[in-house]
Amino acid sequence: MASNSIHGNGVSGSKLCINDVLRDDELRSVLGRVETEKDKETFGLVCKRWLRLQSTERKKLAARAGPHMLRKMADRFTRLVELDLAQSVSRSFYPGVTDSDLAVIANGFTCLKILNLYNCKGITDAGMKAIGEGLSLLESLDVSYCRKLTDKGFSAVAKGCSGLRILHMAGCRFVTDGVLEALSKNCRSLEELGLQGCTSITDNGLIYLASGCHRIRFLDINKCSNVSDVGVSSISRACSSSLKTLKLLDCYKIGDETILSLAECCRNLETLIVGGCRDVSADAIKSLATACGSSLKNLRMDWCLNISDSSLRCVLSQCRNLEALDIGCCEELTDASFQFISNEESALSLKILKVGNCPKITVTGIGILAGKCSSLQYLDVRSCPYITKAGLDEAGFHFPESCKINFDGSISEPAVLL
Amino acid sequence: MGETIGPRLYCCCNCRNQVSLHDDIIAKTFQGRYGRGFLFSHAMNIVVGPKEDRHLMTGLHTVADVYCGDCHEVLGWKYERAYEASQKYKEGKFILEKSKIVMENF
Repeated sequence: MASNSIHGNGVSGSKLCINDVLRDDELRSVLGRVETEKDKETFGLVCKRWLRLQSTERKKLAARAGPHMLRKMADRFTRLVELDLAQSVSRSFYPGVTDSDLAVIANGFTCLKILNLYNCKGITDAGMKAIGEGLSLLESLDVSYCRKLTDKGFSAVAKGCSGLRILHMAGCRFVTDGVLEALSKNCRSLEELGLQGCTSITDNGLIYLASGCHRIRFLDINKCSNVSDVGVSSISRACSSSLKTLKLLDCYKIGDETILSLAECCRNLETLIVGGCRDVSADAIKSLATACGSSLKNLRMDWCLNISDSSLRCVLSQCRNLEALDIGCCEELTDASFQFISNEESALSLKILKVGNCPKITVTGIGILAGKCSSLQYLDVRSCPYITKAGLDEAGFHFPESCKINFDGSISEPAVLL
Repeated sequence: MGETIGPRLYCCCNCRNQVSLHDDIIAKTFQGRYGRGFLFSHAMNIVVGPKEDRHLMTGLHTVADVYCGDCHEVLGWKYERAYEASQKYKEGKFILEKSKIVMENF
């Protein structure tokens, strides 16, 4: 055991320690090359100095913690950028994040950019006020299903966090157009807004939003049943180049005017959900398919009873990059809408297709798809009286190996069209 | 004759698993598959089955059958989505068949 071997040749014998020679920047550089979280935690176990460096380097934390723990975390991880305190959906007896926790967070994590409070049902406007006062660098906030929140809390956040880009408030059913007015005045960089189930939102709110926020690329107003063409068209005009995702599930007042304004203005539209918008006509869909054919990837128009064979044909032939399509309960559709596909040379790029409850589609139509959709991963044919497993097997149609076919609901659906 | 001390509960007729509270009843005059059904705002200890679009008497709906979490007896269904505006209030709520549940005091 050569005890001198550590020092090597030519070293004077003084014991050089890493901590004396390397400065903070150099140690951070070493830490930057450590890949796993576990190894980074181990780095922090070496000594107090290394713990401080590792803690202040830590950018992201996910936790379930009360105020005492949060204060300790805030003391240790001073440069945290992302904090995930999301609660699971099942009825949990853990009380979850409270307003006083938010006060600790707002005072402690001053560099925070991303805050996830999904389903933290206990927070109120007081907690939001703390966020607005303390977290001026905040860019992304998710308070979906924090049911107690009202316009007052959101206005406080909007005023304090002017750099806000992403805001999710699905299920906050007390919010009104006032929120959208506050956002349009204060958060001009807003890109992503989730308002699913905020049923008090009206066209006026959308018009406010359109006046101030021109960079919106994602807007979810699923189930906001009071909005109509006037409001949504104002968004499509104001955010024409940026809008990529628009969700209008069961907004039954939406009609052709919206679809045509999208066709005219939004050439980058990738995802459109108009399921349940029963007034949308077949011709409007044709115009949309023609205009946005190259960009459209995901289209959900279930329960749109006016959709005809010719409009579906138009969608399938024009939207060459279409990956997910839902035409469930579109009762007028027949096999004829698929027949042209067999003459096409190139395969369709469809990965997900839902044709549940289309009583006129038969095994023949599905068989054509089997031949031409080589990327198909999920096919939903529930409640189609003429499409059965036995029928498909008998006809000898073969789907890609990895394709799952849902005949009776026993397979879970992919989430992309929700 | 006995005093009610705790919440009035409904249980699975088959295995007595507690599935709903009397306080969560919204309406008592619904028509189930096998007779009368109650509309509940919440149900617990149940399993929700796959969604299906069905034409009911009140119009097109997406519903999912609801099973007892313990013994898998079909107890009713959950309204996931409603086509008619007048039926939207049912979304997210449960129909439990009167013949499949029994009342118990806690």
